[in-house]
Amino acid sequence: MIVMVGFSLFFALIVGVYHVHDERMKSIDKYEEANFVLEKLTSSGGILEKEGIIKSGGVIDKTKFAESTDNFESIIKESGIIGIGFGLKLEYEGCGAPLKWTNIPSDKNIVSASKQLPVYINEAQTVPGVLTVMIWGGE
Amino acid sequence: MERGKNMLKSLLRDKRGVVTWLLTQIALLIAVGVLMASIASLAFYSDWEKAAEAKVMASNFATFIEFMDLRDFPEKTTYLFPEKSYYYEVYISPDYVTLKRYDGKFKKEIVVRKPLLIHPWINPEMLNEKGAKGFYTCIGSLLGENRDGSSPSRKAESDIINEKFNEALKKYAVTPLKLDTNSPVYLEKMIVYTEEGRKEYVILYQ
Repeated sequence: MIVMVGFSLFFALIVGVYHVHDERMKSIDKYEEANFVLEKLTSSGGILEKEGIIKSGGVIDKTKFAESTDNFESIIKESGIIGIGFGLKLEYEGCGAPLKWTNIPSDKNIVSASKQLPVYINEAQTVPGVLTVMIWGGE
Repeated sequence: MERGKNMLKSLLRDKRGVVTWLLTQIALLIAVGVLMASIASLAFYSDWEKAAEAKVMASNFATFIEFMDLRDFPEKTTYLFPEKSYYYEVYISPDYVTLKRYDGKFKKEIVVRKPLLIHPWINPEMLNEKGAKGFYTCIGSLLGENRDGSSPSRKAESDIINEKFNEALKKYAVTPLKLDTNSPVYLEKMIVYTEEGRKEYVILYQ
């Protein structure tokens, strides 16, 4: 009886291994997706550069980013990214509250990827900042 | 001591609950056996390893297509599917990479689907040669050599380009293209210049 219980526990461990592997693969996929979205948006010729939010040299214009929070949905449509939803958040030195595209749902699993980019405040100030992409939905 | 021995003897001689105990033990053995069989079947007789391998292969190919989209300049590359001891098929549609293998134990067919984050342009119309050059030649044959979209001075009509792209999207969304796993898949970052500006596509062909 004890031997059989022991075997049951052993087999349950094996199943646990598969479950952990599956969860890890899903996490890796999700982080790769988030990273892809971040790279695509911030690439030269990407939608953020076309909209003037990213200036030449990969510098984010803080004013343009804040203004774009009203029409982010059309920007998302034109980005060419399909099958998932995503939002953006920008934080920089001295910003107080981060700037967000406020379509981020609270009831979904969200995965994020971040990148350090310089943020243009005005002609006299360009400070370090972090652009974060948050994705949800998909598989 | 004497009292203890007497108690033990009386317990051993008490045959009243033996059958009940025996039946209980048999029932427990059967229950544990069923539990072990179900867990063992999940662990050793399911096709999860094969499905996991198929998922990784589909994911690798999908990631390769997506990261081709990140290239800033026109570029061509090839993708080779791994050689395996079993037969498998790969299908590509504008939304998914689908991988099928037929060596499952319980379920003969194992199907894995990986969604794509971008729409690749599958088998665009090409003339005389393969790849972006063949596409430009095809557009040039429709709109004139000076309007083949290959450079900013030879802008093509964006309506025509959009129409061709949407046609390919619909066609391969309905009937995904089956790729030959023994031949390389060509992936190319193609830039088409139109009146509406520069359009970037990842084209895929064999």
